[in-house]
Amino acid sequence: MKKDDFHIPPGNDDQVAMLRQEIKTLSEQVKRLVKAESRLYRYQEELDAQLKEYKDLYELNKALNETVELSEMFRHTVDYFTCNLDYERAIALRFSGDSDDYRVAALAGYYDDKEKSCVAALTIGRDGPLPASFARGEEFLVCTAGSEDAELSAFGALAYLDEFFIFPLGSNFPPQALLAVGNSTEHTQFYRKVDAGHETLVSIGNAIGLVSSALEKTILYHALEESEYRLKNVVENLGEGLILIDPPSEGLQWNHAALQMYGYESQVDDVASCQNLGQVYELLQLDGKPVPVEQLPIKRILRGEEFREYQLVVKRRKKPWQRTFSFSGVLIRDGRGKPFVGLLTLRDISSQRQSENERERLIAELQRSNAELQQFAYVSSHDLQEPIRMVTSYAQLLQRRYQGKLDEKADTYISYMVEAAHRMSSLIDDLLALSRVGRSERPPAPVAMESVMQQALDNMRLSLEEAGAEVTYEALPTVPGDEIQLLQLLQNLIGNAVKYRKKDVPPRVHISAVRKGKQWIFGVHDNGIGIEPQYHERIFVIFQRLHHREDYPGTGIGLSICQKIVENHGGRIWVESTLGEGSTFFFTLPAKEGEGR
Amino acid sequence: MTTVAGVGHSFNRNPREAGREAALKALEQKGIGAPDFVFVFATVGYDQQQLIGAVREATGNAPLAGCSGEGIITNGVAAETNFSVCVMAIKSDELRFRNTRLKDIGQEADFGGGRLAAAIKPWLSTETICCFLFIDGFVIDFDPFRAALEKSLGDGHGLCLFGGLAADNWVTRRTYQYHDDEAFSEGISCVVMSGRGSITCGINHGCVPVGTKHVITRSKGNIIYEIDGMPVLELLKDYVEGDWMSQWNKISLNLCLGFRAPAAIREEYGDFLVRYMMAMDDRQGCVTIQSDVRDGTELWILRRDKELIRHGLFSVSDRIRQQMGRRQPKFVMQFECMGRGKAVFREQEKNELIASLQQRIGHDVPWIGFYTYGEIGPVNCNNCLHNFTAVVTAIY
Repeated sequence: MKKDDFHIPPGNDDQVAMLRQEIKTLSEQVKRLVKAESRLYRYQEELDAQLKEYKDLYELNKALNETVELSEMFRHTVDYFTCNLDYERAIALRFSGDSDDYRVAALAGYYDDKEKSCVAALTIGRDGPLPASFARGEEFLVCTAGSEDAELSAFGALAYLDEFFIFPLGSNFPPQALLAVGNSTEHTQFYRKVDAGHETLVSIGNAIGLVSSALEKTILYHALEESEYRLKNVVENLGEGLILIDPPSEGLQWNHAALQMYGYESQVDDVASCQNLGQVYELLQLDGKPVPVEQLPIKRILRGEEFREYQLVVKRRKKPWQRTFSFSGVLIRDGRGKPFVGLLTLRDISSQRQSENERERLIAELQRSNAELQQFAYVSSHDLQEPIRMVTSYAQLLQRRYQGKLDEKADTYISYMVEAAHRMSSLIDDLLALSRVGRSERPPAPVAMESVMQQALDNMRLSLEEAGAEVTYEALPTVPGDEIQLLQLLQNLIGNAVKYRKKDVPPRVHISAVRKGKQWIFGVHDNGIGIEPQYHERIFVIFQRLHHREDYPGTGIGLSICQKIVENHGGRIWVESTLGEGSTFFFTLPAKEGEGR
Repeated sequence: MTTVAGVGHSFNRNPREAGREAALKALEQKGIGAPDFVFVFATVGYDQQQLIGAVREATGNAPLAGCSGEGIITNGVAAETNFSVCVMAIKSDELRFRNTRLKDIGQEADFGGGRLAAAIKPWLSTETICCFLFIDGFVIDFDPFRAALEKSLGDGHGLCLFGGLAADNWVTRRTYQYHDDEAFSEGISCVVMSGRGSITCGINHGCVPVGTKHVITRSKGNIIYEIDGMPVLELLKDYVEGDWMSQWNKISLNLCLGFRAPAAIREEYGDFLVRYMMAMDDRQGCVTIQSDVRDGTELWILRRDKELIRHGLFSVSDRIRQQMGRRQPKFVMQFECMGRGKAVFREQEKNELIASLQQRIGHDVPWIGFYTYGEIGPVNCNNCLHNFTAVVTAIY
């Protein structure tokens, strides 16, 4: 203010000076206020920018969470970086396990057609230097115009970016995706500059964090969905019935097989919960008694019990429907030990059960029949013995008293009678012996076959000496069985081997034993006359003889007895033989448990 | 007799898609098949030629005028981003639009005023309503331009000038003007509107002085070298802080220069004509404004006052409503200084203010405008260039 501007009355210089000073002070205050206002506008603009960014982040987060499609998520991401953060271009590249590289999943920003098709075809190798940087711990890569990093510059050229960031998306290595964001030099003045300053990185970091988290969540979701789908398909297509039990609610989830076993095509209320199920069906034990509540399969599972092949009859109340099922169950707990789900599998064994019942009935009947037959054979044999003995005795008496006193024909007839009586007596004795070879009532005891062998040889010493037979044997094992029957077995076989010898050839008999799996295979080898193949089965039939009595004595019951003894011990007997070269009778006996050779 | 105007806008980054989208929205809004005229305002991030080409293609090559701005304004939208475009398509059997353009105005002493007068004089008649001008804000010195234009048109022409100085994003230092298929710089896009219609406007700046009066002690043309015997930048240093040399854009928004308004407009306009310091030279300590000054001219340093701006806009709407009476505007054009947008208001405040203004003048009235480097509007029949001002024109 100039002095000339105002007319100042004389004598007011002090007042003027004071006014000037006040004006100066006010002026300084105004200047300070203007500066403050300027600062305020600056803060206001920054605050507005931040608020806008937070709002945009919120919208981005919402958009990411509203979709489970990865392509959409990438689309939202690149749009955010271009439309909201004001970068010129953004490219999202997703890792492809099939091609083991990163491929463009979405891109945003203005490209002409040629540029767009080039960028869309961009790939980054999984093991390339750019992803490798992230493996080394780099949180991001930045390239500004004129960068000397050849790899980054090369990528920028392909992506039509002169300054850019590359961020990994996802927390694992290799990253699930890469995001390249930046500008071309030509247009940089219209876009947000690429700089690695703190504020920029915070701003971008917020978005990257959101996207990474959403991406991982979505990938996990898809993996879970696929896993669930696979599991659901496996469960639904199981041939075995499966019921899932929800421990807190006791709700039930049935697979198709389980529903079909119960006669349903789809899950209905009747089977939706334990309670409903119990109202429609009752469970019985195999003997027909009701199953106590605490022994119901579902209850057992919920108590934490694990069980297998729990066979029960399921009967529908008020309707004529029942089946027999075999249940197996287990309770699955989560990582903290809390019951998670109960698994109840079921197999319909109704047919199998019926067959078993039938089999048991048949076995019982057979056993009864066998017992009756044996009894009959024993009684018959025993009752027949006395009259036969009388006939034999009196025939012999007749022979002694009247030998030579009657005519020649009478002597012949009497000798025929004696011989026939002897034969009948032998037959009845053998029949009696066969009938006695029943199942041993004693449990199988360890039988040292070497000891049995020795005993048999002792018993047969005379006949072996008469025949000039030589009997050898290998180390013989101990087997579970009936010692007496096994003695009879060996005696019969060795006896046959000696009896059916070649004329003028001393019989040689050798007994072998070979362990095969859970059984021993014994062999009685002889150098006798041999047996033609067509008779290999027939010789085991009772009373079947291949030779005349005059040539080789006997009733033809010996091998039947051997077969019965072997079968009583759970084995089988057969012959391998060549006519004129000898025979080997093989039979199997169970090995003692836990025994080696 | 009807006039139908539709507006549309787009933020798409692709210039072709943005132009097409904005144009189609404008056409579809009022079911306009073939518009008679199209106004376009856009920001400078786009390839301007492609943008205009797309608008022309979508509007059937209707005559087109407009320019670039620091932001766009339309119904419910006031966007100050690098990628925004708005289009107004007009179909009318009562209004006529004739457009022309000038290039290379910076080479001329009168900045094309004489040439423009020669071009539009044949179009002027008693039915002429007004002339819209969209001028490159970096090259114009408005006073000699206006003087030459008005002198060439002759006394009593009564031609009211409205419009604005094209702007950029404060970085590129290049603005664009649109005329039919062309997007060019350092020129003028001009539209003369005639026919059966009227125009009214409201003009308000909302700036107040800080400190006492100053005097220009050295200047030349539109460059002020010294105030009160010291370099201008020295004087301004007291009002700014920090690294003010690099913050010039913001400083020049916070502070402006005010000159005593001519008596003819003072009553309607206020005490001060506001001038934006569009450039500075830190070596010489001088600033450049958009009109000529002389040594000895008094000036004040002004600041924007938010409340005055807010109230000023309300008074603008009141004035317009008062002028129109019961009549409804056919469309409204708003030329808003870029210093009155996000530079002073928070985003929400700005949007609410614009929405309030639009509501007060007319709900759903087609509205188009842009953020300028200078506003053109008459005050008391005197064509003026304004800064930090809102010029709102309603055609009814």
